Amino acid sequence: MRARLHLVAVAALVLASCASSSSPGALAHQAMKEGVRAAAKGYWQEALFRFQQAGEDAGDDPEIINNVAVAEEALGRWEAALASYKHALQLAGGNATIKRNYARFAEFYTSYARGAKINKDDDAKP
Amino acid sequence: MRNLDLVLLALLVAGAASAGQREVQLALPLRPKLALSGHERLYVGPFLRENPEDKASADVRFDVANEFERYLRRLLRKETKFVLVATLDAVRLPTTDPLQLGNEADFWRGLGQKTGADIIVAGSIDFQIQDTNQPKIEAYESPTDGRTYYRQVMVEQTGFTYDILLNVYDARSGALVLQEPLKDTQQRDERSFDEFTGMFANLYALENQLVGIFVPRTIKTKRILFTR
Repeated sequence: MRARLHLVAVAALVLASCASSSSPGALAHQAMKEGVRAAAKGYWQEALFRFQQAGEDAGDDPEIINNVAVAEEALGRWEAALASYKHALQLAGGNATIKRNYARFAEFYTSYARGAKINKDDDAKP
Repeated sequence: MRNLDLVLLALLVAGAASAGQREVQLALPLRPKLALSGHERLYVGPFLRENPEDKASADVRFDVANEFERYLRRLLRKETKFVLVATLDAVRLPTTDPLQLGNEADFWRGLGQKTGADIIVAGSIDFQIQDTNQPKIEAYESPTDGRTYYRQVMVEQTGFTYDILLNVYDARSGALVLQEPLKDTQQRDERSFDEFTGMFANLYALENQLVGIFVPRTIKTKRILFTR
């Protein structure tokens, strides 16, 4: 009986979160979906635009900011990606997925910066 | 009541799925170690063979330094747009000490003047072959009682170690621009494995690193997107 009550409570919470996402954050949700679809096809410019749109609708959401960071990374905007990852981590605290993305980015960025002498005009700096 | 439980479980699964993630692949650029325009005149060689008195080295039936030089020229011709300058015959190195080679600016400048190259790619190579007997734990089924037992067997292996110290010189000044150590070890489960095949296994493993010194590369990597 107690187990069933727990199940009802959790289901109610899930339904409540779904309901809340369909009202004010519905636009953000739609933009995220479209962004992910564009990213999966390799249209990173469009994906970034959609994620930024989702961010405007939903405010400071670490998951959206993570997606923005990934899109910026794919477009070669390393400085912006670094800032976005840091912002997402600051908001999400111990989110393992964001941490993993950030760790992989940091590994790449370090080796990239260690390469040949970097031009001043480039986005990347060591 | 049971139906209600199932409905609730389905709702939970749907809720979890809606807060999903998706893995995407990115192609990211890697800068070359040398900031070259890509159209310079390049002279490849000479390469110094280290430890010629070593027993493992003496057994090799071919000239390791020459083979590496030939391989590097072919690789650079295939992967880059550099102009490869023709090799000079009988270039004698001023020293047999691989670390001292980098300080011989006069020699490299002279070689640059003779060949008309902008960049000289040279260095030293150590290629070692070791035949070894390694103990290995192996499972076997007993024919008498059908049970699986573990026994130790000696496995014959051949190990190939290829150690390169690649030096890149500015041919006009003779200055050492880049010094890059590259090392690879390969194991083959066979004694007296063909050393020529072993050496090329080492070289193919190092190919990406070698090319990465001169031209930009792309690496494939994965990231996670939140899908909600």
